[in-house]
Amino acid sequence: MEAEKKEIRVNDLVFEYPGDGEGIPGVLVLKGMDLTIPKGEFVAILGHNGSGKSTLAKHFNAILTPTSGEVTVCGINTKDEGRLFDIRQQVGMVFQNPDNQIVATIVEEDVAFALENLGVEPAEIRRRVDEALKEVDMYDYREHAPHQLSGGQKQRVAIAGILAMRPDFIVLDEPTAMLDPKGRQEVLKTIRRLNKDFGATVVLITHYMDEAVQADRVLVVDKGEVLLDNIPKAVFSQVELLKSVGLDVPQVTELVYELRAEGVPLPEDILTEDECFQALRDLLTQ
Amino acid sequence: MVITIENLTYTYGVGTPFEKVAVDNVSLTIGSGEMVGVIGHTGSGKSTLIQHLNGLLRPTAGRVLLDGEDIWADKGKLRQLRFNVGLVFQYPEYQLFEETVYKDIAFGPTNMGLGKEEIDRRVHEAAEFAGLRPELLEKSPFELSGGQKRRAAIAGVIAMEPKVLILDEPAAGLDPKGRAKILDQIEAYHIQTGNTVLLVSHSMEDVANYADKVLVMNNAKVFAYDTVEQVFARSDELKAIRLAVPQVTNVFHRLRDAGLDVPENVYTVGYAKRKLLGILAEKGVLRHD
Amino acid sequence: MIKDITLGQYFPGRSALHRMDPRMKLLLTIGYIVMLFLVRNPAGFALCAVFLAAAYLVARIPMKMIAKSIRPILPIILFTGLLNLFFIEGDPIFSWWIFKLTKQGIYTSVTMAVRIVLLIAGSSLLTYTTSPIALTDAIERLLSPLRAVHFPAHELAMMMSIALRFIPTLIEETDKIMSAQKARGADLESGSLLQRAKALIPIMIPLFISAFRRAEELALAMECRCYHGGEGRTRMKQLQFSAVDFWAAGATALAIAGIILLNQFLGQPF
Repeated sequence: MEAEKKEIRVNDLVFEYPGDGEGIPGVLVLKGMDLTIPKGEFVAILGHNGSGKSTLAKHFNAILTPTSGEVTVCGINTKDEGRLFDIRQQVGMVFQNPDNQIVATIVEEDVAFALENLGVEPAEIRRRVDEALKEVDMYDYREHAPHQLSGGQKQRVAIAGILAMRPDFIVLDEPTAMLDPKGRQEVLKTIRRLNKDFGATVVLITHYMDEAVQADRVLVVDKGEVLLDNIPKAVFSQVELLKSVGLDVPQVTELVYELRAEGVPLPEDILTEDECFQALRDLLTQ
Repeated sequence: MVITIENLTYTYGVGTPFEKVAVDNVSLTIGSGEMVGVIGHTGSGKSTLIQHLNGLLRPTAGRVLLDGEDIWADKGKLRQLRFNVGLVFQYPEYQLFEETVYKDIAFGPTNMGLGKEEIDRRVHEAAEFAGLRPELLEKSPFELSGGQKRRAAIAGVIAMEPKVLILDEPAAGLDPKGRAKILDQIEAYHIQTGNTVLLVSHSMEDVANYADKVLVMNNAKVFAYDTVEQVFARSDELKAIRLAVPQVTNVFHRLRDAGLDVPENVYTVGYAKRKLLGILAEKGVLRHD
Repeated sequence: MIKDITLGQYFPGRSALHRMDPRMKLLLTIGYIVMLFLVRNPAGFALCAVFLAAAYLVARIPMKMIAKSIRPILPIILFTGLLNLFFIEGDPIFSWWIFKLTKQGIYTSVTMAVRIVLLIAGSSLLTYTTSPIALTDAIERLLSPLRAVHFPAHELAMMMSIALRFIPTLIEETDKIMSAQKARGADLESGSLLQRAKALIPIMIPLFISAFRRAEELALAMECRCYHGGEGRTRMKQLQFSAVDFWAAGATALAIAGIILLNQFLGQPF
């Protein structure tokens, strides 16, 4: 094993979808990004559609490789084709549509898919599949067919399929965009638990502000560049800036921001209902 | 157009082991020109209910009346009915199929058997209602962005000039900007045409911001059907059936529980701000210039 | 509604037949079919029928399911039966115009019908007691020796299992698209054949586009999970022959031996 640090490192990443050399010009999607995602962190990446956030995510496990600059996963350059499976095993990826990432007709067979591809011993596959299913709380459904499950359940199966590989990093590309509120809650709870209880590094790409608020760190991506990279409180205090790039802030943050603009003495870093309630109660009972 | 639902019951898979009552003895009236938000969990019966309004589903029991007329009285009129009650399904962009956006929007009006000029007028008007620039009409629908595709599909229903427009989660899966754009267009459409609009949504915030009345479905039954103020005043009950009420509604309810004199029907940021500023001014915390 | 069509007629259960290794079931079904074609006399058919009935009893699949599986091909059975009845040369019992009813004709048409019925009932038993996925698995494993001659056994099985996985999804999608187009006034129920075929365009195009999109996304998700074909792949569930399989193989071998003996001693009636 490398003595390299367990992290994803992005150095001056530029990516351009190539043109056809004639009429259609190339499209510059990422314009020089620098960032590091250390092991154990819960990072949210925010940005409107077309901001480049999904393109960035696809560089983390070598689905795309940089036009210039470099991306390394635990010291392995993503352009190193000989190490492709090492990278994909280290960085698991969950996508938006749960229907389109489940391969098998039985839940547990699907969770086993990656391990079977990696040539793991059958007994070990069984052990890891059961473990992964328990971690996402879907063990009782192991013999169900995917189409019998709700959206949130399907998405948890997809996450289990990634977990079974025991990756250091789990990248989720808008995993809740197609789910109902209940499904969103289930998936988000699962993601948080993976990070807090199992120490998994989570990169959550989303456009739901209430999800980003729960991360350790929020990256805001706009026009192929990193606009903000900070703790949630610092990021969401920039209400005007976020709105100018097509994003939103949680209702309570907006309320406090609006009140402050009118001169009401309230703290500026309010992100949750709890904080808002306490601040308003203190203010009103003065 | 007045929609009256009388004792409507719909059961899936009658006589099979999968028999399930999706809508259970529902009665309600939706007045002409209202903007009604419809909320409820997946499986609460809201999608089944709206598919009855344009005759895609036939009630197991009960009736659906449009302006007093039972829609199933004359089966021959069902297609006519579908032109009067426009239904936009979830992810409607998956129904686009024509070579150009123009032709796709024209699909409904063409099915109605309208003349060329009338179709042309309707396509352009519908595109405008949906916020699509005219130059997009000659493009292939598959070249559009996600939000544009969605709006093109909505235009395809608007072009039939229905008296009632029903949208099943028109903003699902879009980013905040895309959501706001679509919902604003729908609001503008409602104001300009004065037509009845039913907006099915999972987002309480959206319903609070855009609807006049709210229909809350739960376990195949009507849980609440009233003005937005009245429904959100019952936020404790909404939370009891695990529906997420807007953050500000929650905060205000907790303030009331803490013994503070704040209104209970707060559900938008703008309203919350005005109320709080008023209270603070009274208390002298805030000086009015 | 299209949703009501059930694909794959698997009846989950715990019987000895359900528990058998799918590879053995597949092989024995082939053995049974061979047996059916070895039969030369009515006693042989009786033996086959008894053998099949015993298998249905063991599997606890109601006999009325046989009738259900025969119904769709009944016209074919009747048609071939009639052809045989009148066009087989032999000792005429009755003749009219170009039709001649012969003893041989009657015998052939009856045995042909019995053979087809036994064939369908037997192979249906395989699908009744084996899930499609287990069957796919069995096919892959039985064909895997052919990989040496570049036969794409794994790819074939993977395609079959993905098809099985997406059939319910695409059926649901078709339903949705049909409703959406109906809501825009599409008329799918009336008109001439040509008009109806044209009316399918607004359904088929979105369906194909969606299927392609799904295929693309699925391929990406599979790549992310290190899929690279059958090379070096292991399986979580190992297939293993057990005592039941050997008993079943023995019983089938005995039945085939019985048929051969009957052929030896009774010969052919005609």
